[in-house]
Amino acid sequence: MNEQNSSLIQRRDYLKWMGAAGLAATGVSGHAQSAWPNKPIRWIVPFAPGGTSSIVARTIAAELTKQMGVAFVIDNKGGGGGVPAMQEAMRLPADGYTIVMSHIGLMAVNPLIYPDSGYDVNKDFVPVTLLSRVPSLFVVHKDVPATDMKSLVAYVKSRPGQLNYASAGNASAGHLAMEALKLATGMFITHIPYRGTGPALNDVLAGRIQLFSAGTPALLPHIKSGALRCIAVGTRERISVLPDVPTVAELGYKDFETVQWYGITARAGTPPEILLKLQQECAKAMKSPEVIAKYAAESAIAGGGPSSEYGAFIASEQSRWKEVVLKAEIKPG
Amino acid sequence: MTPFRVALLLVALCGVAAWQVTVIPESLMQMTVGPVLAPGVIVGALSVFAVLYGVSAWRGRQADESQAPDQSPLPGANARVLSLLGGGVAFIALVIPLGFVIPGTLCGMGVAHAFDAPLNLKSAGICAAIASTFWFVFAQLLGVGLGPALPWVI
Amino acid sequence: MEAFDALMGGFAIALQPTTLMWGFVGCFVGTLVGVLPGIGPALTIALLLPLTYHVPATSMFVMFAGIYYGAAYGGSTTSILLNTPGESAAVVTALEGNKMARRGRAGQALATAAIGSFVAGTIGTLALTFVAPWVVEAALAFGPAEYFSLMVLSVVAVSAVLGNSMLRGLVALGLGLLLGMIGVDLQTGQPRFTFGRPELLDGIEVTVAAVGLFAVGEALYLAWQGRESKTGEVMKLSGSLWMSKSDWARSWKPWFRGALFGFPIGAMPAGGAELPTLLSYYTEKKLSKHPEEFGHGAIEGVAGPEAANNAAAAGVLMPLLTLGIPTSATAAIMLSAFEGYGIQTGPQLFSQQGSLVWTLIASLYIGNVILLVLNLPLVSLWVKLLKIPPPWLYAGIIVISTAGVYGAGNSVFNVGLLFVFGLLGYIMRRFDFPAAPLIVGLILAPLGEQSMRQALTISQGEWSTFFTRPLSGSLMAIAALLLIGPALWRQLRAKTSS
Repeated sequence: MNEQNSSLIQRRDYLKWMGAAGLAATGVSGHAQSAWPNKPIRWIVPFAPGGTSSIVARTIAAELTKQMGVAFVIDNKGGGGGVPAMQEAMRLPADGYTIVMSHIGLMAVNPLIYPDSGYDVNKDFVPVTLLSRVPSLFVVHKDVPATDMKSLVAYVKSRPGQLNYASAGNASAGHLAMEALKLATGMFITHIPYRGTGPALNDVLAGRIQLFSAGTPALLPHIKSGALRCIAVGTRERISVLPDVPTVAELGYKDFETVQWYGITARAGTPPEILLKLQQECAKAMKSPEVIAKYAAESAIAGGGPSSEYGAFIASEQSRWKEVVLKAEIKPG
Repeated sequence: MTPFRVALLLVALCGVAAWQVTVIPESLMQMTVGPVLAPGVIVGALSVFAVLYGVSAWRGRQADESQAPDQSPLPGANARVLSLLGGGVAFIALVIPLGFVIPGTLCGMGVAHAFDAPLNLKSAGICAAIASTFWFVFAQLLGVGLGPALPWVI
Repeated sequence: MEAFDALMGGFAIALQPTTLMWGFVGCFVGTLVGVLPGIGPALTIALLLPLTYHVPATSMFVMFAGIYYGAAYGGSTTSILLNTPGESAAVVTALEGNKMARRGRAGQALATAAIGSFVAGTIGTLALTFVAPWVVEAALAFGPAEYFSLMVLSVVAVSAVLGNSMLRGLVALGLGLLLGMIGVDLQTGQPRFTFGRPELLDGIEVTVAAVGLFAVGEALYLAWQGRESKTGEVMKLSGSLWMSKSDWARSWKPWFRGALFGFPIGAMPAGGAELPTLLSYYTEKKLSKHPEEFGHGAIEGVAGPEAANNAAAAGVLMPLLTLGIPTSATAAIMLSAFEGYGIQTGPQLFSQQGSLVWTLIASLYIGNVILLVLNLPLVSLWVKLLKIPPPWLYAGIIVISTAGVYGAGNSVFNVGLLFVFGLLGYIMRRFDFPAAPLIVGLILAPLGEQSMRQALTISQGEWSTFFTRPLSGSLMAIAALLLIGPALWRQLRAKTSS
């Protein structure tokens, strides 16, 4: 029953501000900061349960729970592009018992397309550590007569506006990646959004749509079976599962990098010692065999570096995507 | 509340919807069908149906269950409806500060009162049992996110 | 018959005592969570999935299968007994099922639902074993234009649920379509009808609307009337709980037809389980020898849609396993589940991981059987629920609905929406507006509009694409036929008889 007791204590603490006076327990929470963590930590994941982000979160959370002895409880708050989840985090105290899963959409794109969300991702939140980066692949249907980037660009330029690309939704990682590619190469391809990778992939496989960009796990089986052809990868280096596919950067488009990333963010004002401890524990978690195996399956690159590194990465992503979002007039979806 | 008033409500709703359609920002993207066409068509069709309904109601040809023979409400109908809705409001207002069980109990009592159960300790007891059981089975055992049971721990 | 042998091999691995026990546990737990209105199969699986990681490897699949089918069945139980659809696909079941229950035929309704689900699940497993590649290829042929035509066909099928007055039914449909437009437009990213509220950016959740309209609305109406408590119990239970011979005779064809609807549509992306249930209901109503019973408790109206629902659940597995494409939220979660179990979905799945996959398929079938075995005897238990005095029964229903909606989204806004829809449901009930078209409109509007615009973009603005593409054109032709067919037929009969 211990777990239930500790989770009850956690919940009581959230509502401490309601003045549940006269109970000894409030004294316990007063000591909380000097012996962090001594009660469960709430990890807000701004996605509906079951997606890749939740898998990453749950894997790491399980490791952290084992390492630190307190429960890391995943709280899925999907919808609204992640804005309601962040607004919820804003309501909670910055005592190190609430962390948020941050990702490319939340940190780099949302500030541009949701200007009145009621929080500032840079001022009200601090980075803790990067968790993973998943490469985005650029694929074409096998019937498209282009075998590499050069021939693809020529093919597209010879028939502007006639080719289409699918995405998992407006402002999704695939959409952003494709727009970045269009910007870099000067191709003009029509965007057709779908609700989710599944329906998009269906139409790409059927040949109704010619181009697509998504993460490795969804596309790899079809690349291997020949239904799709991978033209390039969006990471800085080639990835191990597709060693023959060039990166966009090495094809002459310098500094091109499109990856989907996830990390942990906490509220500004959380004591720095707590942030440091959290980051170190995450780094340790990422060396465990389960996490390594899980990451390998997704072709994900582990993070775990110091918060300053994550902060710098976020800043660079924000400036990188600002141009793309504004030029491509990306709106919420 | 008569059918005619319902029709008026409907037409008012269509008016608001039509206003909202005009407020949809124009998209700079080129496409055959923009974001305005489908909502516009639907609002238009609904307005037509609403007007037809209103005309028919005006002529007294529309159903109102309260007039049907043994379907008419027993006295105190509005109080009962308000009691049920009140239970809902109580839950919405109180669930975040007070956890699940207390607002759930109040909600249950409101509903039971709407079905002629008196607002007494027995009602509170039964509803508290219902709310607690649900919370226990679903939130504790099965992990559904219902929030804390109570604002303090016993 | 290599596939068949492999399937038998899978059975051999799956059929062991401990495995079966975990299957029962999974089934029971799945039904329990599935019963919670607002928590559909997708969320149920997401919540209960971690449980499966704690059991031995061979039992994992069967437990998962139990949870999956249990979740689907739980939603149907509350639909029938309490007019509270546990998920949007159970809405059509509520139409006839609850009416049957109110006439004292709850046992039969539950039984036909359980058996129909079993039959459909069996057909689904067989299809998965033998014809999966062809069905998947056919499903791939369904592009946006075909979807739009399918939506048009569904709108015609809605005419079956329009109720007594076409005008009022159309108003309900229109209202549903309008509500379906709330949210961010997929193509352009513009918010529509959201009044600046972030909670509305994703639109109105169908389960919230369905539970609100049906459960809360009904409760409000009955409270308003005030007669429930006078009779002392919600509904009378007369007669036996088992299906009579005529019940069986009237049910078995709808089971098969429902399965035929559900399976292919479940295999299509964004097909979902709601469309097949609607199409099945429409078909059964048109083909029934007792059409006047529809709306008052026709058993075909439960048998067909339930089979369709379950078949769609099985159909979802095909593209999931063969292509790694999840075609619904439930499927997406199953995909993560399978990856957790070490199954790498995709074209190479059957060749590279044969035994694992066949164990999974065999487990799914066993889960199906367990569901039947577990639930048929429980029917009498469930039906006893109806003996609870109305104040406490409805208090329980409302609180459980509130809990479900709140728990599904952790959002108080949704609970507010629940009661708003409840009020709407009360008004609709009082003035005889049918609720089902509203729900159907809510589901169809966003999908239909989206498909139409996608199709137009792909065809570079050619409206004829809906008619010139063979599959899409045929669907449109069927829809037109169904729409004007009956009227034409009557005209012809009148001419020939005069």
